[in-house]
Amino acid sequence: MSRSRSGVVARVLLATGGAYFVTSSTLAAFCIVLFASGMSRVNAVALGTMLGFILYLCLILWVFSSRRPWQVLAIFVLVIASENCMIFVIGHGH
Amino acid sequence: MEQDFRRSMGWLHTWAGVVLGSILFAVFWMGTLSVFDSEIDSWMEPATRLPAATSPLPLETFRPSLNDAIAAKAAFWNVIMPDDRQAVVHVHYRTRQKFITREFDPVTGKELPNSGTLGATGFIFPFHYTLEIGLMNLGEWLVGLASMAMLALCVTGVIIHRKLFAEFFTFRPTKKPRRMLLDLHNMAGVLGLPFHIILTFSGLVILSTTYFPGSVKAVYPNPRGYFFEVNGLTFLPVKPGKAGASVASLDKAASYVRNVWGGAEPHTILVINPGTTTSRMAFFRESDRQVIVDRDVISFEGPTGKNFSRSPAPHPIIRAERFLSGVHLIQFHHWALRWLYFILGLGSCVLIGTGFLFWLETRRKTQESTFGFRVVEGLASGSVTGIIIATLVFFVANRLLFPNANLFGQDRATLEIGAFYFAWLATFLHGWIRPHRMWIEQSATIGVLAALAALLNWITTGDHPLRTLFHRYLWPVAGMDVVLLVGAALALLTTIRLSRRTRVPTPLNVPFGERL
Repeated sequence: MSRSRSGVVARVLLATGGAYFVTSSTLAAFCIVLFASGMSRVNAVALGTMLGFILYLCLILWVFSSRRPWQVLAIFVLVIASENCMIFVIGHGH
Repeated sequence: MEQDFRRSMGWLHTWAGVVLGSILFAVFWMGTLSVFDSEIDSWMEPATRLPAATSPLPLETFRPSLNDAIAAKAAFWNVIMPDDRQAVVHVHYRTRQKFITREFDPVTGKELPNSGTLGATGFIFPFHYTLEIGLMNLGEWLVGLASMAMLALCVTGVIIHRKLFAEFFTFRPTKKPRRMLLDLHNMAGVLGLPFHIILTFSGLVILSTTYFPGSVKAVYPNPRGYFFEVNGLTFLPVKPGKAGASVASLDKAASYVRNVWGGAEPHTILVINPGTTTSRMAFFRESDRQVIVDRDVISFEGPTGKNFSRSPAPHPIIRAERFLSGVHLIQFHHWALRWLYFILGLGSCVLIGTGFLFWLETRRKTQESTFGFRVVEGLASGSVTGIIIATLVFFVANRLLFPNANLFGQDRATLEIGAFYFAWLATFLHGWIRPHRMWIEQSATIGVLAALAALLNWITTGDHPLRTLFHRYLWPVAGMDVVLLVGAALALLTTIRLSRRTRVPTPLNVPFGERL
């Protein structure tokens, strides 16, 4: 992986911040989908938060091992945007 | 490609470790001590070293403190009954100004004098997950970041090592220090790997709603709803009522509860909004025979004593979540397992400490004079040996301060904490000022302070190890003294070995390719 200073800073930001927002919005979407498909709220959230950390870990490792961080960034942006759209559309009214 | 992957994981392992190692060591060190929090409490509060009661006191004994709580318009009042780790009864309530803890003799029901210390449950345990930084939950977020780094370190650590199984048995104490450090690092890492991963993961799960509030907000109109539901506390949210009501007989409710549970005792008794028309009493069942934190709770209407609710049997997902919490919080009583947690926790501390030292040793030859090296060296000394020294100073200060000590308007408990931070800061400065001698001097300090703490316990309370070992109720004190003395011996041995090594300097040949 590139050892240039800006490359390292970019990867650290992408791993901590970017991967965090991907995980966070995926969890929200996951909970809404589970709740909408009949699981009780408390179970949906408990299951989601337990799995969330594993997803976050995988994303962090992906950011640091990837050869093309720009591609990862693009995928992150795409995922965050689409999940937030979904939350906006079906997440209203609890 | 595979080689490239391994290199990038090695890079992540090195730098995540160096940058977040300080926080990780603090979290693991304080967590390891928290395994024995009640025992450290009884060491730090000599007035609570009492033989266990044979039968529980009637709850009405604590009515006067309940009345105090009502007079102070407390939001809640609770009683925690004694168990085989904690002989005294604890009463807590929160007034508008502060959180109050009172302790009672389990046999006579008389109130014990104020201990003037936060002890392990009031300082060491909260430090473990908040770093005592309350500002905007910053401490909890830092702990979360460090925990995620720890998970990443565990995974990358496995990836960069090819011969995982061989490292179970590889320890070469006679080789060069750098080789020995790496062996120790690998051994602590590989042997304790399940412990490191499970404890880090379950710690994150316990604080999951702090880290991912979005998941709760997505399906709950009021985020606190999830907290009440997942913990089986749905009776808790009550509307504020009018003052002037009384609280019905606690003992009558307790006997009803014992009946429902087939004789099992309540461990915690909680009254929410005491003295108002909407108050509730709740009884939490003792659960020290199981790993899972299974809160069977029966609640009553406060003013009338009418049965209100019982928590429903939890769904398997919630049981899984509570099992993880239980594995982390160790509320169950099993001495062998508790010691295993303690030893594995120390193993994690060794893992983090040797990681730091290995980083320093591989670079000492080439980068010793650089600013970055000096920074890491100062950080490593302050955050590895430094926090141990600070903790020991906290214990020594606890035995040295007078019962009602007061300095610059600060009470005794605050002074103890002040001594902790003062000592901690001093170790960072020391590491910065004396880069060559710091490890020797700091391990000597650890040895002296640990022995001093055990000695001061004997002088100030008369409980020396020969006495404490022969009384069952003093075993917690004996255990703490023995650990202090063993620690002192180890630290002094280390000092001797280190100073012998510096007198006969061995050249460090670091092949360039071997550096991480």
